[in-house]
Order: sequence, then structure tokens, then C-alpha cells
Amino acid sequence: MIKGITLRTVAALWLILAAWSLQAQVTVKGKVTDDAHEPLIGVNILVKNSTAGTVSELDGTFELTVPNPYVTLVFTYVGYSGQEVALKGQTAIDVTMSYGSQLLNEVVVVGYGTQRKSDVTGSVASVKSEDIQKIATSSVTQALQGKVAGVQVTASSGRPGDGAVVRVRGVGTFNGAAPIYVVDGVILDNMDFLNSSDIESIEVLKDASAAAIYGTRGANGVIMVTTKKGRQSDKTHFSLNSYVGRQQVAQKIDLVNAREYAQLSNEAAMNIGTPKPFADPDALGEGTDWQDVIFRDAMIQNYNLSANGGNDKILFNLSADVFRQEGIVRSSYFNRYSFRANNEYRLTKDVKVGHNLMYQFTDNNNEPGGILFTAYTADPTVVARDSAGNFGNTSNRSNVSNPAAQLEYNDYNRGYAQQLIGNVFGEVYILRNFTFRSTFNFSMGNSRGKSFTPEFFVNDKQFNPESILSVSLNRSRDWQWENTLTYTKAWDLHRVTVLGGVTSQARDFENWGGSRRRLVGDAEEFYYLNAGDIETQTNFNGASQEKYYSYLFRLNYAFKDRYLLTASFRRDGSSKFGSERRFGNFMSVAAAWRVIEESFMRNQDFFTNLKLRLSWGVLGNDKIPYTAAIPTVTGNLNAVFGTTEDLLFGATPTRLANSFLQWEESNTTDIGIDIGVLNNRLTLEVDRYIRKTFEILLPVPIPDYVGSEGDPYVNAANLENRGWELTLNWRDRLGKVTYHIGGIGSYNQNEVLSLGTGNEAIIAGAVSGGGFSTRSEVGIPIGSFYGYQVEGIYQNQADLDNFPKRGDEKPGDLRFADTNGDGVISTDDRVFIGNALPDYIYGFNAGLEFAGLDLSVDFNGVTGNELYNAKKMDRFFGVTNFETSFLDRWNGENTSNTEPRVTNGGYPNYAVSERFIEDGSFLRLRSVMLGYTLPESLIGKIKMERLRIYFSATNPITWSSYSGYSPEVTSESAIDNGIDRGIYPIAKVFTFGIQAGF
Amino acid sequence: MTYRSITRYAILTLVLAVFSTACKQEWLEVKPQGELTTGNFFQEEDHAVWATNAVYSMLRDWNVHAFNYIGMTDIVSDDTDKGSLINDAIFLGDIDNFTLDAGHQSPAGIWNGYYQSIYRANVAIENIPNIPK
Repeated sequence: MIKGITLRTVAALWLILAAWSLQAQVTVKGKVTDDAHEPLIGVNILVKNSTAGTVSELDGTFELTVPNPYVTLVFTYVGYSGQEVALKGQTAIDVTMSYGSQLLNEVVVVGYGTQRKSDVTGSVASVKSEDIQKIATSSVTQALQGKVAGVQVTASSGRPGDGAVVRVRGVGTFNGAAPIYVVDGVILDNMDFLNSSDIESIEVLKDASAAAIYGTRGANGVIMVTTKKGRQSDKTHFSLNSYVGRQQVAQKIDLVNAREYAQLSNEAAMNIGTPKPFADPDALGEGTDWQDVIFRDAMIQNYNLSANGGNDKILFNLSADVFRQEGIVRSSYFNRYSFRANNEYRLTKDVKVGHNLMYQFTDNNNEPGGILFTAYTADPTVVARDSAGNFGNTSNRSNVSNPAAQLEYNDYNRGYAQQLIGNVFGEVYILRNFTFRSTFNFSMGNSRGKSFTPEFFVNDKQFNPESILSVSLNRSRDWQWENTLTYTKAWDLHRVTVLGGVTSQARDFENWGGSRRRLVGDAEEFYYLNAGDIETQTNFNGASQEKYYSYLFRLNYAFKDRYLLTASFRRDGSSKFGSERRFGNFMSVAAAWRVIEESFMRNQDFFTNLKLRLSWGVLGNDKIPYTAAIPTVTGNLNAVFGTTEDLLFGATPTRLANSFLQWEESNTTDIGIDIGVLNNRLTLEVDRYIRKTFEILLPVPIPDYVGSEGDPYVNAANLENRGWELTLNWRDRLGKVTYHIGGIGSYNQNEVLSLGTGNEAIIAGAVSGGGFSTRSEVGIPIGSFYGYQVEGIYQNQADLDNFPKRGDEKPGDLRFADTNGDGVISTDDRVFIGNALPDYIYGFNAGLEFAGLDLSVDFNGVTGNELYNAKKMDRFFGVTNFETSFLDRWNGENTSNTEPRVTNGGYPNYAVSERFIEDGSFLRLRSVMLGYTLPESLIGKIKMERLRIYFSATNPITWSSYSGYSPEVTSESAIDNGIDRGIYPIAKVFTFGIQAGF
Repeated sequence: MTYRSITRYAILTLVLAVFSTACKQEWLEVKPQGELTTGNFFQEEDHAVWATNAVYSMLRDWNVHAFNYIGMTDIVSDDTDKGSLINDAIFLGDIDNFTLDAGHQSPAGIWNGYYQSIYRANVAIENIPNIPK
């Protein structure tokens, strides 16, 4: 069972719950209006230092039960100046709020607690739920793209259900550079299970001050998600959020048609010296567009129904969500069904318990493996399927499968998953200043996969002799038990909050699977291993476990509300680290000065907010290949002996392990300024940061004659990221029109500082032909592309004689630069030719609201990055199809100085060079939305609170010069980034939606 | 001090006592699941046989037995030419044309394979005598 929980702890908790008694409570009523005496609907009213709260009704009135008539009520409403009203015994108050973009009294969620935005000393960015909901996607992570300065979000692919690669302030390490996600306190590696309608807010903790409380996991940033909670109200608020949309491939790749393919194939044959394959290319027409064969227009839909309400004893938020998405590549789809219950039960005046639970199932099907590459390379002169139903033979001139046949035979790749994520918690208020919170967080689930290929024959290169079924099952369990004690006290001019806590966590995974061939039937009812031939069975079963134990501490101090100090400390122990390095210490210190509160700022009214922030801290990253710490013995090193050729089991330790293996450490310094002017209608935040990561795990080369398989991992490398971030927002009112304009921008520079003793470069990014496209070296950004520089083309024999060459080039071949000036072209002439990390990441948005109509547009983009078009290099066993860029090829003197003669592989035209580097910058119109909210007078008659219909488009236009499906080509690996080997394309989506409240 | 406040201070102390629960170092020691480690290997007769078989299994290893081996023996001696298409094992073409340099993967590959075999043999030689009878 769960170790780490002692009998003492359980007894203590029971005592606490038993010792408290009920006290009388008070109901406070009132009305909230604006400067023009109009009622304000939906104003958030909270009891300070508590989560008891409510929302104002249609007529601006509210009713709230409070523990005593001397509490402070906090009123917040987007676009209006917040207020705090300290009750002095009265039970009725009316409040007037003034218009003016107001972010100061907004409460932001920080690690293990909440803070007023004005008290925050670190770099924390907030994203509102409405902004996430504008994007039609299954992945909330993808929806964050372009919303937060300093955060780069790149979709992993366009496949339904896939998420995104997220980088906060650059790539921090060679291993695991992703941030962690904390959803209602549950620490997770992924937040794609969330429904956007369930989210209340998202905060991104970017610097040490904000993220240090997460210690060994905070180095790459923390993304905190808070889901919607119940609010006190005299009636339950129901809400329906739904949309239906159509997706299309955003951009196809320009491939040549049948006639052009025949011409180019003949030319290639002539250049290589083989017979021409096509007698009469001009007789061919357009041929088959293989991309049209695999793509389709696909539907996406989402329905979310929720109920929210509560009284002084119980608060609830229940929701059900259905999400269904077909993929734009035929046969792929993703469906998700979820139920959520976020409830709170106030057992006594000082004790409350609650839970945030979500249960979800998903089912999906993946497209046939490699079909995006076969559609890119298949012979366009071949028909997909003839009138007799036979699949065309695309393997004649190259070893490429017929994509239409793949859709017929290789399309059964199912996945099913279910998970339960959430927490159960209890909170006790002690002695008026202490809050003890104990929460049990968990994430558990299992997933199954099933893949079937029938026996089939298309041609002698595309066939399967026996039907085969593979199944797999994964189980994962993750529980975290966190206990924290918070002390808050305010006296004279001082305010202090102290937090201390202990947490423990354990995760375990297990997987099983197997396969069999020669199933008794081809229909779905036979897709179970028992239906296969037992002689062909294979199986696997493995597991892994991780455990953590941590102590945490934080102090927040404010003097005169203008001098702020935050200090935090965390000590983490993890089973992942070597036995010599079990525990690590992480800390941060930050200070802020709210200049706006100073007396010399009183007599001006231009600035309404001015705050300077400075923070420094040490954080850790534990996403390391930790098996390197343990000297395991490898099995199944089997030998064959004797004339009978018996296979005998063998096993031995093959690797040197490192018991000093530890986390990676990151030192971050941040300096920032928050400015608000003109009643906070214009707000600006600027940050400058420097982030140095040390002790990055690297396989450090040891001499090959030691004979250890693979080099041992040592914490040896250093990396630096430095940059700027900017966030600008303007919101105002012009008569009856409210509008806002905003923008974010960031600049990041990445540099490798050290690669361990010897600083041996890391070569990665394998591409076709056995070459490597990336090289990471000291002084250069991580994962930079490395190859030949193209100067032009050898136009004739004279060029070959006059310019340096390797020796086997011909006229029409690429001419590389002799960068080392030694008169010959060799592998020593390779240089750095680009990098997939963008210099600038930016986004801007604008919107307006008038008479019930709302319109918003969102743009985002990156610039300063390159991509490597690796799929263009791959002339896979024969003459595969060509991109239209080949049509500009050299075919005689001076016909081209950029595109070489058509050949089919080899040096120099298919070596790793600038030929395959393309500009990865893009500007995308991310979303456009036009909505109309029906007036209350109309819908009030049918007892509805709100009805809005809208049209929106996601990714309608992308401006980019990249030739592939999408300039978003990424990978979790920093040394294999930006290499396009064939990606599932991004779709543009047009949707129609309805939102109702009743 | 009233009864109520004494109770409350007592409870508070108890809560603080919860935090003083020292972490058992052993709780963080996790054994790899489904794998042997050097800690529990070389303990019985079977392990000796397995370790020896592992040495001979290197003869079936890709580096010692497949493309790199063919390249550095048959192709470099012109006993065979590299055939197939240009892009098929393009690195073997470098051996055929003598355009390979010191960093080429084939010589590195076979020597890696041979030294790994020596490593396994050394591991067996050093540890098998220590196995309890």
C-alpha cells in the first residue's frame, strides 16, 4: 500500500476534524452597479482569504453567507477596477465599480496557493478561458500558442488527439525540456485530457520566484490550470457550450504531375546512365494526385454541459463533455468523453473537504503507418485503383506502397483509454491565521492498443503473407500526497504569509502486449490473440517505478503594500537519482517595489500601476534518462552453438552506470517591470531573463576500447538561454463599443556553454543515406543544422576545373563553398547552416464588442528559424515523386544556379547541405470569431440567462514560405528538432457554435 | 487560556508533528522492475553460463557480422562490389570508391563490436570465479 503515511498522521487528521464546532453565520446582501448606475452582472464576490464566494445576478444583486460580519469582501470584474470592502458589522452593502482595465486585485494562482496580482514578485502570465475556447482543437496545450510571451507552443502534429511541444523561455536542456503541468494541484506531464470549457484560468510560472516551489521539476517552467469551481447562488446555473466544424488540410505540398514526373525520371536516367523508363512523357496527363487520395474534409464537434451552484454548505460544479474529431487523413479519428465533479463541502465553520475529479474515456484510430510519406513519394503515373478494383503498382519504379491499398489493408490501428485524474482534499482553518491543507492527488488510467493487418497481395513488394494481430495494454498510476500549513498575518504596515509543507509521490507503470499471426478470420470479432496460431505468439511485459519525497517552504512579506519580498526553498528526494545524490536543494529569492504606492506618485494620474520586480533562483529538471544510474544486466543476448544451431540465453552487464547521477540545475535571473497607465487601460509588462542550466546529462564519450555499450551518462553539459519578453494590452470603451488590442513578443538566444570534458560535439538528426543533420557544439545554439554551404552550380567543365571540388562532381551538380580554403571540398568544409529555434516569437490580437456582437482576431508567428526538409532528401530505392521545386533544375549550361541536375541520390546533390534548409518563419491568422449574444429582454422570456451563437475559423490563413504541410515541425528532442521527415498536416477549421446559459 | 484555545494549540502542535515525519531513505530506493542488476547477478551457476553465452552472442551482432563487416572485409578487398541502388547503404559506397575517411562509420563500427566482445569476455573472466559454489 502507500508507504509514507503513518498512523500518527491519520490520527492527527481525525482529531482535527473532531475538535471543531459550528458557529453562527451571517448572510450579506447587496447590489453592484457601475458609474452609470447600471447593474453589473457576473461580478465575482469573494470573502478575502477564503474561497467562499458568489457572483452577482442579472439585476446586480448578490447574497453571500459569511462566517462573521467583519470579513473583507473582494469584488472583481473584468474591465473594472476591483474593490475590497471591509464589513464593519453591516449585512447590506451597495458597491459601485468604475470602468478601467484592472488587473491588480485579480487573484492569480501560484504554486500551492493564490496571490493578488499586485503582490506577485515573479513572472506569472495569465490566460483566460475564453481565449483558449476560441481554438477548435482537442488539445488545450495547442490552444496556448501565441498567448503568452516567452512561451513557444508548436503543435506536435495535426493528428486528432495529438498535443504540442512547449518551451518556456527557450530550450533548457538536451533531455526533457518540457514544463510541468499542475491541474488543480495535481502535478502531471501533460494536460491534453482537459476540456477547454472546464477551465477557469491558466497561469504560466516562468521565472525562479514563481516556479521554485516546484523544486526539481520547475526548471522548464510550470503551467498551472484551475478548473471551474462552484459558486454560491440562489439557483443552479446551467451552461451549454457546443460547436460543430469542418476541417480541411491547410496547405498541400506542390508535387509534380504524371507528365512532369516522367520527364524528370527520364532526365535522371540519362544523368545516371540507365535506360529511360518512359517512352513518351507528353502522352501522360495529370495522373494521380496521391494527396487527394488520402485527405478528406473532416468533421469536428464538441458539446459541454455543466451545472454550477451552491449554498453556504456545498459548492458544486459538474460537467459532461463529448468531443469527436475525424482526421483529415482518412481512417484517423479521436473521440473523448469526460465527466467532471468539482465539489466542496463545508463541514463546519472551519473545516471543509472537497474533490476535483475527472473521469474520461477516449478512443481513436491512427492512419496507416507511413502513409504521409508514401503519398508524398508515390508514382503519379499509376492509378490508385483501376476499374476492376486492382490497386495500381506504385512499386515498379521505386519501393513505395500504394497509399490507397494502405488505406484498405493497414487502417486498423485502434486505441482505447480511460483515466481518472483529480484530487480529494481537506482544509482546516486554525486559530484564525493558520490553514492546514491536505490533498491526495492522483492520476490513474490504462490504455489499450490493437492493430490488425490482414493477409493481402497488391504486388510483389507490397504484400502481407499472413494476417497479424498485435495488442498492448498500459497501466499507469500516480498518486501524490501533499500537506501544507499556511500562516497569514497582517499587522500595522506588514503582511506576511508563510507556507510550509511535506509531499510524497509515487508513480508506477506497467505494460503488456503480444502478437499472433494467421488469425482464423479477418473480421473485427476475431481480433483477439486466441484467434491466432499459437506457434506464432510473441509477448512482452515490463514495468517501472518512481518515487519522490519533498519538503517545501515559502515566505511572502509585504511592507506598506509597496515593498515585497518572496523567498522559497524546496528539498526534493527522488528515486531517479543515483544513490549518492538522492536529495537536492532548490531555492529562490525575489523582491518587488510597487512604485505606484509611493508618496511621490500620488500627485500624478498618468500612471495607475508601476512595479519593478527582480528574482533569482535555482531550480531543477528531473526528466533525465534515469536508468543510467542503475547498473542493469541486459538479457536476451543469445548465442548459437552446435550443428543443431541451438539458441541459448545469454545475459551480462553491458553498460557502465553512474551512481552520482543527479538532476539538472538551472539558475535563473529575471528583472521585470509592470506598467499601467490611463486608469490601466494600457498595460505593459517587460521582462529580461538569463537562464543557465548546469549538470545536463550527456553521454560523455569514453574510449571505444573500453567496450562499454554506449557511453555512460554524466551530468556534464551547460546551456544558456537569455532573452526579453513583452506583453502589451489596451482596452477601452468608445461610446457603446468596448474594444481591446493586445500583443506579446519575445526574443530568445540559446547557446551551448559546455559539453563536458573535451567538449566533444554531439551529432544527431539522422537523415536518409546515413548522414546526420545537426551538430551541437560549444558557442552555438543547441541542435543547429550542420552541412555544406551552397555557392552555386558547376555550369560546365571549365567551372569544374576552376572551382574546388571533391573530384566526382559533374556539370549541373551543386557547388559547395570551400570554407576552409584548402582548395578541395571535403567533410571539413561543413559549417553551421541554420537552426530550428526561433529568434522572435510573437502574437497579437484585437477584438470589439458592440450591441451584443463580438468580433475577435488572433495572429501569431515566429521568425528566425530554419527547417530541414529531410523528406526531400529521401530518394527511397528508386525514382520517387518530386516536389515542383525540381522543375527549375539545371539541364544545360546556365539554366539554373540554384537547383541542380536531376539525379537520384548520392554526393553532392543529396548530401546534407543548404539545399534542404528552408525558412521556417511564419505568420498565422490563428483565429477569427464573430459572435452574437441575444439581448436579455428576448431570452429572459424563455427563462434563459444567456444565448450566444458564433462562427469561427481556426488557422484559416498561414503565411509561410515553407514548402511542406506546415512550418510547425518540431520534436521533444532538442538535438533532433525542425527536421521534416513527413508530418501529419495541420488543418484549417471552420466552426459554428452555440453557447447557452440557463 | 480558555479550554478552547488550549485545545486549539494542542491540535496545532499535532499538525506540526505530522511534518516532522522523517522520510525513510529506503522508501526512495526503487528496484528496476523486470531486470537484473549487478547487485543480484553473478550469484549462481546459471549466471556463469549466461555471461559466457553473452560473449558469443556478439558474433551475431550487427557491427561484427553485417554491413560494417562486409564493408571492411569483402568490399574493401574488392572481393565484392557494392551493388544495389546508390542510396541503399550509401556509406558502403564510400568504401567501394575509397572515399572514406578516418571518421567513417564502418571501421569504427567493427572495432566497436570487437571491443564490446572483449569487454563481455573480461566481465565474465573477472566475475565468474567469484560466484558462490
